[in-house]
Amino acid sequence: MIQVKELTKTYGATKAVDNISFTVQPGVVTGFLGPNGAGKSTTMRMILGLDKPTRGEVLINNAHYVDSDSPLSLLGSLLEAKSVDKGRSAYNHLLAVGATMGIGKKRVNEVIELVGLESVKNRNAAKFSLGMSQRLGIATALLGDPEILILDEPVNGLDPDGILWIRNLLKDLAQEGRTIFLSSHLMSEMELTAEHLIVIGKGQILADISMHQFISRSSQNYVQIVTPQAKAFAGVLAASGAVIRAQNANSIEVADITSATVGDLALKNQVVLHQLTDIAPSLESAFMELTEDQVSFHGHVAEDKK
Amino acid sequence: MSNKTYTSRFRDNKLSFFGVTKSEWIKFRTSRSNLVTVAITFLVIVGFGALSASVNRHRGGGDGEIRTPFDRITTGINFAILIVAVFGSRFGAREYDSGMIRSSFSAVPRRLPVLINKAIVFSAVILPKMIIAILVSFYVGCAILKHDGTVVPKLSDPFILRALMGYGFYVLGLGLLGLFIGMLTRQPAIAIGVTVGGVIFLPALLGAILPSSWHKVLEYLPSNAGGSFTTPAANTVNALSPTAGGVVFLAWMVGVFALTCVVLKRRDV
Repeated sequence: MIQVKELTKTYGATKAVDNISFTVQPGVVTGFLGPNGAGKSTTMRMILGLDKPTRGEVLINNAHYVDSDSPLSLLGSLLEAKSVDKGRSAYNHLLAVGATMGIGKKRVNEVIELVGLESVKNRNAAKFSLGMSQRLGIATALLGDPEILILDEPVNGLDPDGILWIRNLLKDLAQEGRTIFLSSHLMSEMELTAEHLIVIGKGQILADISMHQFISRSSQNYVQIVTPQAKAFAGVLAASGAVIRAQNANSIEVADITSATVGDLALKNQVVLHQLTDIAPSLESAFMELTEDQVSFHGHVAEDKK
Repeated sequence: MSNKTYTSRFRDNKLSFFGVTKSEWIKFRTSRSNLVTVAITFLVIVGFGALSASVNRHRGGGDGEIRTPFDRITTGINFAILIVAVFGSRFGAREYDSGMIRSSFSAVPRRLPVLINKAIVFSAVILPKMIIAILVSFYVGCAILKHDGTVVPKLSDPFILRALMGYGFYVLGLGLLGLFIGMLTRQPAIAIGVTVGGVIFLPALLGAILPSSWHKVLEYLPSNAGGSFTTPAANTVNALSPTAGGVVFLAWMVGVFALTCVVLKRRDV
């Protein structure tokens, strides 16, 4: 379990992270989302003790990480930035990291096999592709069989096969009762991997909620109706208080109403329905809706021509 | 959400000082450039010592400068000082430059054991190698000079052994200063500039441009303090006594080490 308590980090006058508190629970994959510059990486580095908080604290399984007598078994991490000396082979890198607490060759070979680097384990990390470096980073994170995993953009540079592999791996690791905390820019990937979400924007927590709730509470939910009597039925729906989002000769998109109510209204008004579908938004659109005003670096698209 | 929490297979593996020593030793020996640098330094000490002894023999020291047999034999060491100072700077800064420091400080969140063990491993490799190289160069150089009929110093002569051992510690000391400065500055180029420029060249430059009333102060700079215990004499003109010089040199080391500890402990990685 990771407990972040009133954490603040300021750089000069800029508050990168502004008094945030949240808890990451064991047993589920928790996703950490936020636009660029929202404070994700800074928060993760403070959790790892690499950056010192200006105020507040982080507890890792109810204690400070710096006081851990078995750090690698408590917490494994992969940061977006490379953390390997490229002059060294993957095998020797892992051996050096493991040696700090007596983790030896056997386990090193085990994690190398787990991430699929057997054939290149004696090659200098300088000759690694982005995907191979990422796998080495994951191997380093898993070396101590950690109870808590913190991964910043773990799927960066992985091929589709690798992405599927890490998704299933993280789910399995969470199932075993580990705490998994990961950030990713890839919404579709996050939607498939994480069960719980923490959303950060401009250094503040915008949401701390289950994936399911996050998506379903979005205003982007609507019901899609296909009917030959679209025009008449749209009037009925509007009269009942629903919001017509779009309408043409034989279809209607309507929000603020459940599909069950739509069905009831259709029966009552003797409207023929050919199709009635609940459309849930993607994580991406739910995220965009939440963080619209929170993005630090906007790409302006013809917005100025008003 | 499941209620069970996972317990690591390695929960009973404890982070230990000795473990960090082992880790730093693995890091040292698995980087080929480290091994090559140590070998080159060894060859430079012995090779340049022998070269200087034989070249000067034929020239008869005709460049006007009077160089004692001891000076000629230890020529290679002065090159080695430069190499080891650069080596130490790179060795310390590389940890940051490569990003390895994030792995190292994640595995050892208290941080200081990494610095201390890095210095221990560096010393354990450099010191014996340097002392052996210095002794070998001494015997080889003496043999070459003796062949020419020059009266050569013996190890048992006063101050010779002290000066040779002093050189060993001086080379190591500058390497360690480089290592600390490397970890402070985090960038190899800056670390090398500060160590070589500041510690080795600056004192000579200041000596040339400052009025002589300042020379008493300059004696306390690391390189001048080092000169006092690497010269085979009871006392040297314009320098501290060998003992005082040794203490001053050590004080510099301790000071820079302490500064590095404080900065490493506090600074964001």
